[in-house]
This record gives sequence, C-alpha cells and structure tokens, in this order.
Amino acid sequence: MDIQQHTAATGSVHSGSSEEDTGGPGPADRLPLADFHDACGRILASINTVIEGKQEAARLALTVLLAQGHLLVEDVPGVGKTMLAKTLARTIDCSVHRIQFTPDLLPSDVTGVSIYNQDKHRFEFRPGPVFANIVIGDEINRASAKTQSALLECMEEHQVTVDGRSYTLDAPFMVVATQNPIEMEGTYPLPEAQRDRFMARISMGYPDPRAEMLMLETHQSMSPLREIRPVVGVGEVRAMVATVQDVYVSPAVKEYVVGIGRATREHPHLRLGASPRALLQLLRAAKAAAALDGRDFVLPDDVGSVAESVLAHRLMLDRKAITAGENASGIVAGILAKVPVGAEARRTAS
Amino acid sequence: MTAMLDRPVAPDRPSRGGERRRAPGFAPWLMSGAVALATILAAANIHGVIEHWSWLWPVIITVLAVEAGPGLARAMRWSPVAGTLLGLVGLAGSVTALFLSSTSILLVIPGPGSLRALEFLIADAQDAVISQVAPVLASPGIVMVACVGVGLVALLVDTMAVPLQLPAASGFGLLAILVVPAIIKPHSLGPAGFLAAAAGYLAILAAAQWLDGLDEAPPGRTAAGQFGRAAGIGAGALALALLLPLGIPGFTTGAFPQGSRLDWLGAPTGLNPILSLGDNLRRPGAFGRITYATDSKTPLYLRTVTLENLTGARWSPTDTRDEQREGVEEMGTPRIRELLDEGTVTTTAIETRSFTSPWLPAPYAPAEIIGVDGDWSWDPGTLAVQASLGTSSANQDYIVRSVTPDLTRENLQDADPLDSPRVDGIFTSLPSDMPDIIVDTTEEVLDGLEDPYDQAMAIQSYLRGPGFVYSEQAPVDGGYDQSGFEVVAAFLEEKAGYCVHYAATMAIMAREAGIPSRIAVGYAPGRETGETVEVDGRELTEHEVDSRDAHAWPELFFEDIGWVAFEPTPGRGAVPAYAQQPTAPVPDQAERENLNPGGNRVPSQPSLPRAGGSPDGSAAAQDAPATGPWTATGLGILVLALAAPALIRRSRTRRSRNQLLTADRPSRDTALVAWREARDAAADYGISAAPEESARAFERRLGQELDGGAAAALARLREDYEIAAYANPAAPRPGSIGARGAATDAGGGTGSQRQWSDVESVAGGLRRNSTWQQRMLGLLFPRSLFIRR
Repeated sequence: MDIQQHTAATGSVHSGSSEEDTGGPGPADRLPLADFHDACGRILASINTVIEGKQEAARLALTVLLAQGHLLVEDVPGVGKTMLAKTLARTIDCSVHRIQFTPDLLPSDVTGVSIYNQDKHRFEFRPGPVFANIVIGDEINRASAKTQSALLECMEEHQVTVDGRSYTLDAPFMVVATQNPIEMEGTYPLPEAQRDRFMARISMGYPDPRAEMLMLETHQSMSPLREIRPVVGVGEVRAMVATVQDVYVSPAVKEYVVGIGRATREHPHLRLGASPRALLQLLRAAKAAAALDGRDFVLPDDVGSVAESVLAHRLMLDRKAITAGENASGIVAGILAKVPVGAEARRTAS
Repeated sequence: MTAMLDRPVAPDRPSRGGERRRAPGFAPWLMSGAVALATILAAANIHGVIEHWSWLWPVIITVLAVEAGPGLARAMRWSPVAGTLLGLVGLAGSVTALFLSSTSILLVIPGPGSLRALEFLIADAQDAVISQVAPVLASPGIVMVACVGVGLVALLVDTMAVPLQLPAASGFGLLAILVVPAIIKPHSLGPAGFLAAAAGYLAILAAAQWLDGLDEAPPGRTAAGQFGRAAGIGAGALALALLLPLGIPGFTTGAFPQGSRLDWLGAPTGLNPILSLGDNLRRPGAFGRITYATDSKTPLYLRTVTLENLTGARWSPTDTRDEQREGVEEMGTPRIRELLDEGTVTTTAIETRSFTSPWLPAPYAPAEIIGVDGDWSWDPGTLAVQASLGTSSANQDYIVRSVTPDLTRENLQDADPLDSPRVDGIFTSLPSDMPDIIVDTTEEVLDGLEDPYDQAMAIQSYLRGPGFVYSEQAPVDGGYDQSGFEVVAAFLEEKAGYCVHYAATMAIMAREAGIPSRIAVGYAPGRETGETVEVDGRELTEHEVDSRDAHAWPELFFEDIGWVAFEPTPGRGAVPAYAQQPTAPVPDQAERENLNPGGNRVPSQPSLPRAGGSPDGSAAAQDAPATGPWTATGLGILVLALAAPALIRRSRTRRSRNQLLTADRPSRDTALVAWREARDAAADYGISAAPEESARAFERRLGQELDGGAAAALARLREDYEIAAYANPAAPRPGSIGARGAATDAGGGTGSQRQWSDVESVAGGLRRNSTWQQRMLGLLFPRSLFIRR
C-alpha cells in the first residue's frame, strides 16, 4: 500500500452535504471565451515544458478535465503516463493525491475510513486519498476488483459513502488512472463497467527523436516537475468547466453522434458497441474540445477529434477481428470515415 | 480480458480510408474484360464489311485468348512485357486452333505445314479484297485476317490502357478498327455501331478510373465518384466526336451518320472501281482525277477491268495471271492488230495522276500502249491491262492506240445466234439457282426475238425504259447494293439502282438469252477541259474524269464481230450509235451531257423526274431535302442535350449570385448558399465533398488545390458556414458573419457581397489550378448537378 499526498493543500471535505451543488457554478462563474482560451493556453504551455512532443496527449487530458470526465492512460512503462497526470495536476492550484494500486490495497484505503475518537466518543471520518481535485491512480489494474469498484461510485457520482453517510467530493474532480498493457500477470483487468466510466483512454506513445533528445538534455539532473508552478486556480477551473457546459450543440451534431453510436453497434466486427453513456461522454468531450478551440458551438470535427479516445476503449472486438489484427482505434477511424455528416447537407439545402 | 488484448493505440491514426481493402483477384481481370468488351463491340462494326455474323465468333475467341495474357500477367504481378508476350502467344494459339488446326500440333501450336496453310489463307484474303465488293464473303482467309487484326488491336489497346497508363488514348486503337467499316460501309458506322464502340470505350475509362479509385481512394473521391468522372470524360469525348464533324469541311452533306463518314484518310483515290464504285458515286466531292486527250470523234469510255466470273453472289474478275502476256507496247489478238490497219484507230494520251489501281485505264480495244512505266501484262481474253507487283498505276503518262471495229446497226443485226460460242465458258455460265424473276423478265422482254442484236437492244430499251429510275441511294437503302443474282432480282423488283445494277442485269439477261456477256468497269466519257494536248503533231482534245464518272457497262459478244459495249444505264455515259433506237432522241442528248462541261444536265428520260441522276452525286442531293429537317432537328436536340447540364448549372449559379448580391446583410441563409456554391464549384472541377466529410476536412483538402487568396476566401466561407449550420441561432454573435462582413467590405458592399466575391475567388482559384481538360469538363459536364443534396 502506497498512498502519497503530494500537496499540502487538502481538499475540503464536505461531510453530509450531498445535496449541496458543488459541481455546478452559477452563470456568473462562467469564463468568457477569450479568457478561457487564454487559460487553456497557459496550462498547455506549462505541461509542454515538462513533457516534450506530447501536445495531443496534454490537450486531451485537459479536454477530459474540462469535460469533467476521467482519464485512463494506457501504455508501456516509462513513457510519461504518471508524469502527464502529475504535471496536469501541478499546473492547476488544486489538491492532488496519488494512489499506487497494489493487490493488497483495500477499498477503505481509497475512500477513507471512520475511526472512533475516544476524546469525543464518536466515530470520525478520515477522508481517503480520493478526496482531492485530481486523483492519480497508478497501475489501477493491479488492485483487486473490490478496490477498483470502490473507485466507481466516486468517479460516477462525485461522492463517497462510508457507513451510510455520503461525503461529496470537491469540484473539479478527475481520476487519472494509468495501466500497463504489457505485464498482465497478477493483474485484475478493469471490468467493462469501469472502463465505461473513463471518459477517454489515451496512449502516450514514444516521443519522437527530437523530443527525446531535448528530454535527455534538460531532464538529466532534476525532475522538471519541481519547476512547475500552478498557472490557474481551482476557481478558474470551475469557471472553465461551466463555460464548457454552456457550449451549444446543434441537432445536426447530436444526430452525428447518434449516427456514430449506431454504427458501432451495427459494426460486423464488434461484439460490443458504444453505450448511451459513451455517447453522452463523447458529446461532453466534444464540447470541451470545441471550447478549447475557441468556439461556443460544437462541430462534427470536434466529435471526430475525440471519438477515437472516447470510444475505442469501450468497444469489444469479436474473435475474427482480433485474429485479423484489427484494433478498436482502426475501427473507430473506419466508422468516422463512413458515417455521413448528413444533417449538414440537409440544412444546406434549406 | 478481451479488452486488454487491444494493442497499445498507435500514435498515428490509421487513414480514413483504412477500411477500404483491395479486392484481390478481381481487379486485374477487370481491365482485361473492359478491353475485350470494347474491342469486340468495335469489331462488331465489321458486319457489313464482311457478310453475315459467322465471323464474329472467331474474332471473339481470338480477343479473349489475347486478353487472357495481360490479365494473367497482372493477376500474377508479372511484368507488363510478359503480359504482351502472353497476349501474342494467345493470338498465335487461337489463330492456329481456329484456322490451321489441320496442320497444328496439339491444336494450338503451329505445325510444319502451318506456314504453307497460312500462305493459302492470306492469298484467299487477298483475292477476296481484290475481287469482291463489300460486304465480302466470310471466307476463312478474310476471317483470319480480321481475327489477327482485331487481336492485335486488343493487345494495343490493353498496352495503352494499363502499362502505358493512357486509357483515354486507347480509343485510338478502337478507332483503327472503326476506320475500316467507316470507310467501306455505305452508311458509315450507323448510330448503333457508333454507340456500341463508344460504350466499349467508356467501359475502358470506367475500369481505369475504378482501379485508380482502388489504389488511391482519397476521401470524397470514392470508386463511385471515379465512375462518374470516367463517365464525364467519356461523354465529353463522345460529344466532341459528334460535334467535331460540324466544324470540319467536307462534312457539309448530311449529318451523323452519313455526313460524318470517316473518310479523312484521304478517300481511296486508289479508286478500285469494283470495290467502291457505288461509294465513289455517292461521295459528295470528286477525287482521283484522270485526264485524257483523244482524237476520238465519239465519246470515249476508259476501261480498267472486266467482270465475267458470275458465281451467284458476286460478279468478279477472273484471275488470269497465268495466261497473261507481257509487253503492252504491242498487244491484242491478231484480229485486233489487223484492225490497226483496217479499222478506226484512236490515239489517246492519258495521265493517271493520283489514280491507283491494279488495272490500267485504257479505251477499248487497246492495241498499243506506249510510255507506261513498270511491268504490265495483258489478258488476251478481256484485254485488261494488269500491273505486276511493285508497279503502280499512279502518275502514269502514256499513249494508247486503240481500235474500234466498224460497228453499225446493220452488221450487228447480221450476227447470227451462237450455238456454240467461240468464247470461254466463263462468259456464258449461269448458275442454276437463278431467281425466277430474272428468267420471267427476260422471257417477257425478249418476247420471241431471235436475233442477238434485237435481243440486246430489247434488254437495253427495257432497262432504259420509263419503269426504271437511276438512284445511287436506293440500293443501299433497300439492302441490295451488290451485283449478284439476289441483287439483280431485287433491282428488277424495285426498278431503282445505278450503273452496276443496270450493267449486271443486262449481262445476266443476255446470258439468259444465250449471248456471252461481261461487265466492263471504268469511266464514262467525262467532260472536256477546254485544253488541247499535242501528240505526234496532232492536237487532241483533253477530257477529264474523276470518281463521279466511275461507271460499269455491259459488253456482249457477237459472232464474227467480238465484244460490243452497250449502255443500259439511263443518264450515264453515252449510248453508241449502233445501240441507239432509230427514233430515240435520248442518245444524242446523253452524248451532249457527257461532253459538255458545266452544261445543264437534263434528264435523259424526260418523263421521269428522277431518271437523270447526274454524275456528281445528285441522288444524295435529292435525298437531302427529305432527311435534312430530321437531321437538323436531331442535331439540334443533340446540341441542346449536350448543353443542358451547362445551362442548368449556370442558372443555379445565377440564382445563388442574385441571392447573395441582393441580400441586405449576411445571414444564415446567405452563408449556406455561399458555401454550397463554393462546394459545387469544386465538384465541377472533380473535387467533390463526400457526405462523411466535414466542412473543415473538405476545406483542408480543397485548400491544397488553391493559392493563398482563394484558400483564404474558402476559409472565410467555411467559417461562415459553420456558424450558420452549427452555432446557436439564438445566441448573440459579436464576431459573427455580419460583423466581419461589414468590416471586410468597407467599400460599401454588404457582407453577403463579400461572400459572393469569396465564392468567385474560390472558383477562380480552381480555374487557375486546373488543366484545360478539367475546365472543359467542368463547363460541359458540371458534376455538381449529379451530387445528391
């Protein structure tokens, strides 16, 4: 069991206040698009000073944060999964906890535990590491299914229930989980339900030679993380989240999303297509992508830009497709190439 | 577990077309199939050059055998050279199997005797070409030549379409096939034949584009789109093929198909009168001019060859090469040489100019031919002068001294009927299956006449009589444009035809009456040029003849007199004095016509308005008023049909333009209209937006084809469109279309006018970066019309 607390700032624990709306700032909290764009630029620039050549991954991570989703980073060891999560967390002036998942990790190690206070003669809740704005779950597939599922409630409902009492998590709240697809021994692969709860899965991939050279030159002596200073405050992030929620989605784009969903369900090589939740998350991610692009409305291109990351990890290929060497990303790309942006054409004719 | 088996996601997304897979095994054969189809469809036009359809199967088999080679090579990914070699092997194998099977080894390998058999077949084909009028009989030699020719063309077309990557140019190969029927067939190709060949050509283009589509398949240019593109190119090419004749001199008479006959190879000035007499008469212009200067007092016929071999289907010359004699300076039978001293001797100086033929034109009966170059031999039976191999009749300048027996009505009347004629049996033979109408008509016409001369005159009078009409077109329309029995029977039924029919009929009826006969082919007397030529100190009057004077007339044999020419064709040639009815005014008139250059030609049979077909293709001219309006209407419809897409497209553009220029301010509607217009313009130039392609993706793709200004204009249009199509219509939009439009157009125009100028800028950019073919295609066949909206 290895639970580290990285920042001194502790997330405020709102015990027994589940009715309080922490995730929905009022209209006044919204950030104008120009400021939004500016803040995003600062965050991404900051991340890029640490992780060279991974702008796409950084952008997607920020997209997921602003869409209030959770991120699954899947790749071989040593490509900067944890670094990305930590950097994102550090650029924002918010609480960050990191949980190293191991087979003996218990659910209470994640959520927190009630301890009897002899002085006060009552149980007191000691919040676990999940009480933070950003929770980094390292090697999530190494924990038992029971512990993994403890994360479920937190991720989906943004609250923790212990001994019949619910404790709401602070907004923004985002779980960044990493897993290693190579070493499968002694792991508990994420159940489908849990995979579906992650808004997006990204793969870091190896940096290109130029970025790798740069990394070798600059990161020899000290961790670049130490130089990272927060560039936005937690309140600002909340306002950004609110801005994203206000992004307009036209019926044409909704139809396009539905079209993509149907195409995954009817695809001959897929055992399992995209769930309605997946489509909802696809749309939320698309809204964030549109806002990041400086727009207050979603284009089919926004949907397309996040579709692979949002959908690929939820799809299950049939045996024939696996044998044929196909992968989910390829199938999503193929679906995007085939689903008509039809509503666009209909509206043009009007 | 399954999910964990997913490979780590590759950093680079697979291309959008990653799902498209090349269909293995089928594609290599597609082009072979298209080439075979096109070649066979083009070859089908040979029907009419070769009789019936029996020849088509061997041709199809040959083409398939040839095309299997390149197809196999492509399927096995061998080099194109291997494909061509395999094609040649296929050609040799199929020709061997079809024509040389008796001397072959294992059916397809030529055996030791094959070369000899091949020589026979080639000689057979050669004979057919020389001696028959199209459509020729489908003899093995002719069919073999057709198979080899078409097979080689198939290979050529394939080579151009695939290894050389010139599918459009492969049409030239098909054209090579079409030229033959286009020149030889009286009606050229005809609409059906033309369309069949065109369909084949389109199939090649479509296959080529489809294969291209498989190789590249960029978004928006799907295989289906490629088909559309191919269809566009092909339709453009066809439209050009149909419209081009309108602008070319020489196509002034009639329209497609008659007027657009492909005679640009420079009409066969070779003027082989047997093969192409009818064609020459029908041809609008004159060619193959020959001049001759003569001291003859009577109109002079120039004779090249005689047809005496009547096999039923055809009259043809006899191959008498073995009996021919060398040396034309002194020629003719002893009887003729005697006449040099006794009879009338005519001196004629002839200049053949561009006339080419195996036979030398000379007045009958030639006794001396002086000054002719090359090796010539003459046939004692017919006095036809034939060239040896390597000798040409072109550009010859020679003098012929010919003799004419003193022929009068009286001495001809004295000639006795022939019981056992002193001529070769070939001049009297009549096949047994003669149609009844010939026998009956002959019987009716002769009506008990015994004298050969009376019989001949009766036949001539009958044919020149009021029942018959001179027409160069009627036999073609009626399908009896030949000279055999069936044709003569049809001619007697229809009573309309031209010299070949009159001559053949008189020759057959004469034989039926027991008079030996043959058909002489050559030229009617022609016209005076007004010049004189001095030969041996004597002034000779110069005349000219050309293709319009091509003529055929019968020669009948009279005991003790010899061969005597008659003129049964009304309005052509000149009836000799001995063959004139004592009371008939006609011959003199005819004589005047032919020797009076530029004089008004009057019908030789005044009671028959159409009988006086003038030699310069008057029959065609007479037919023209009847077909003219139809042709013009058809042409008008065709032009309209071709222009329709362009007109519809223009009207759409105009509507969009008005919409944008008259709008007070830019709105959602103007943005949508402007974007649609830009997208349509791109589609016209072959870059159409796919339904699954977003505006941005399309802009990226199209932007690569545009220069800076146009690309920026496109980006503005795209941005406006996105706002119009996807943004919240209720939300206030400070940076929206209107604001920017006003800012850009400080000169006073509205934002929607800016949108229109952007559309024009995009269209201009597309125009600048396209080839003239694309521009032409975009104008004539705007593909935006065929895009589903």
